[in-house]
Amino acid sequence: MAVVTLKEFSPSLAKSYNQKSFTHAFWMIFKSKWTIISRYKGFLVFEMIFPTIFAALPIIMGIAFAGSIEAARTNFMLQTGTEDFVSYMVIGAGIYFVVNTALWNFGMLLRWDQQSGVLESYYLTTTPVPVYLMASGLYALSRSMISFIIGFLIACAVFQVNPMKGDLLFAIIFLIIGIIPVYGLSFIFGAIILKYKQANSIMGITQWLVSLFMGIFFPITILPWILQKIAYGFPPSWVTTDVRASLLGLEYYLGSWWADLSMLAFFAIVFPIFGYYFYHRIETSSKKNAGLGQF
Amino acid sequence: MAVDIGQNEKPIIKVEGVSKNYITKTRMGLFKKEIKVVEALKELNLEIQPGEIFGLLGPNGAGKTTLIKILTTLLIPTGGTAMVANYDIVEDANDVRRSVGCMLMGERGLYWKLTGRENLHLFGSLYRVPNDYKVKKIEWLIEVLELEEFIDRPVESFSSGQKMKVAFAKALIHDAPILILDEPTIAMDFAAARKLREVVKMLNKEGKTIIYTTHLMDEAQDLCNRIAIIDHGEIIALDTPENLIDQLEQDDIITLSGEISEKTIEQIKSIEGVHDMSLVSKNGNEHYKIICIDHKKVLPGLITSITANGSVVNSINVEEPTLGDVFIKLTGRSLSEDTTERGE
Repeated sequence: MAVVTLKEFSPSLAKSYNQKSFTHAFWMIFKSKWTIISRYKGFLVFEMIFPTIFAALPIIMGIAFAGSIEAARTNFMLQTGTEDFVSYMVIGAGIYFVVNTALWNFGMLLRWDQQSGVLESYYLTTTPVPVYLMASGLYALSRSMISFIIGFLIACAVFQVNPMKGDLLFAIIFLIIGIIPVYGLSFIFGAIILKYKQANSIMGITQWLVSLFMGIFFPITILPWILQKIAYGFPPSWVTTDVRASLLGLEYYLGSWWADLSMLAFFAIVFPIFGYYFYHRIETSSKKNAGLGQF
Repeated sequence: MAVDIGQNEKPIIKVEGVSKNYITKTRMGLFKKEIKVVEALKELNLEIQPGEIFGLLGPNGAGKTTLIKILTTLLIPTGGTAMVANYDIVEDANDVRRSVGCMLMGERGLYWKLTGRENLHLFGSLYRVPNDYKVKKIEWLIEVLELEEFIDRPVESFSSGQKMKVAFAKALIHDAPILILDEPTIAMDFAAARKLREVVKMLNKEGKTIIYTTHLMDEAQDLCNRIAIIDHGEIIALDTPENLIDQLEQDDIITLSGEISEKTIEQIKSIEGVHDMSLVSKNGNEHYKIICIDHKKVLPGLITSITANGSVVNSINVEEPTLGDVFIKLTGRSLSEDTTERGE
């Protein structure tokens, strides 16, 4: 083995603060997160089958209440504009899973890193925190998108739904644009977990609120008036409605795809900026007291 | 010591009036809580010269880790300023981080599902070390720190000592001019700890400035050019280990066992610098205890008295004051006692 002396390395080398080193740091964080999750195989399998299990309950309940699948379709048509309630539920469950894991993965990721001491190790390095947050965010996004696609296909096979009907391209565009503001929310969610160190209880409450406001198994138009207004300010509600509109031919919120897409693009700019601002405030306040290493 | 410490140079670390308060909440029943302000550091002043191995000693809760976290930008001080490698810890935080390699939190701070090598690659990239140098550096660290046997196993399968070695390697990955090592040998066996100290000395010879905290007095005495003893957030003593011990003004103790004649005892008692000589019994064994100012000055006369009067000596032991004695004298406690009001 070639032995190199310490003198080959000089502190000036660490001054190579260029774009390439940023990109490499970003890639290494992203890659290491995927390497770690690949060593928890049971987790990945669960993520693939979760949407099917989650959607199965309301689908079977709907058939049981209506008496037959035809009666269930007729009744569902009256409320939602489509009789394909199976696809409706499968899409809702799948998007809920994407949104939920975006929030959950990110918040828990920070918490795990905090508890293991790795978060402080990141803060000791010269890679800026936004790079860590973005790489972790991209990892959580890619993981949930892969799980969504595979989970959706499994659910389609189990419930005998054609996944290729409707405008699939539009649905994917809505999903990608619509998930960006969710990462803005996840910064806020992560910061709250770092501050209050209550990952499980915060996650439990958030999961139910998210499922309520985004209308995973029902149109949000049947929510009470005040809850409807809150749901309109919540980006995941728009994603669910717009993906369903693209795939099942239902109405968009604002009447046309471009108006809804513009609104999601607006959310995609505002929410991450606000989310990072919030995270930064919590981080600074934490450093002024006991620091991020206290857990 | 091998390194010429430039006392007249500009200090590489300068701490001026740094204070740090923590706000803690104590639960008082179900809903009530008491908010308390704990002063972890009290207007601390400190200068560390380039090339020094600087020891920080203090019991748990004394403020050592708080000071280290401030110097590594993990905490913002409540008051005062600090410069590290001529960079302000608040204004130029990224330059400070570039200048400091830090081994903090013991064996924590590594991803346990990644291998040791994967961790080193990840953190090398996070310090933005160019890839070709990073690869060479990792190989060098594996060789120097003797990591070959386990570096490609997941960290979760490491012993505590192996985790500490990799954590130490992580602190060296970006070749920073300042190293901050917080109790680096705490979970290591004797051989591994000795190896680490050798590497620390080698790095110091290469010109690195090292801040070293430890509970082990022998380690501090062996490694450090200067030592600061910190207690309740204040530096209560700062000097070289030798000067700290000299300031103690404590007598040396020589213990002597064997067949010592009365005449020999009388002669020993008359040697200049000997305060007292008495027969003591410990665990059924009797020995003589000689209290003197400086054993080095007393020993020649002592040996002459023994040989001249035909006494037979089985053993002679000398007990000198240690840094541990200095610490007890200054604080009234031993280093192992915990003074934590809140976790460091």
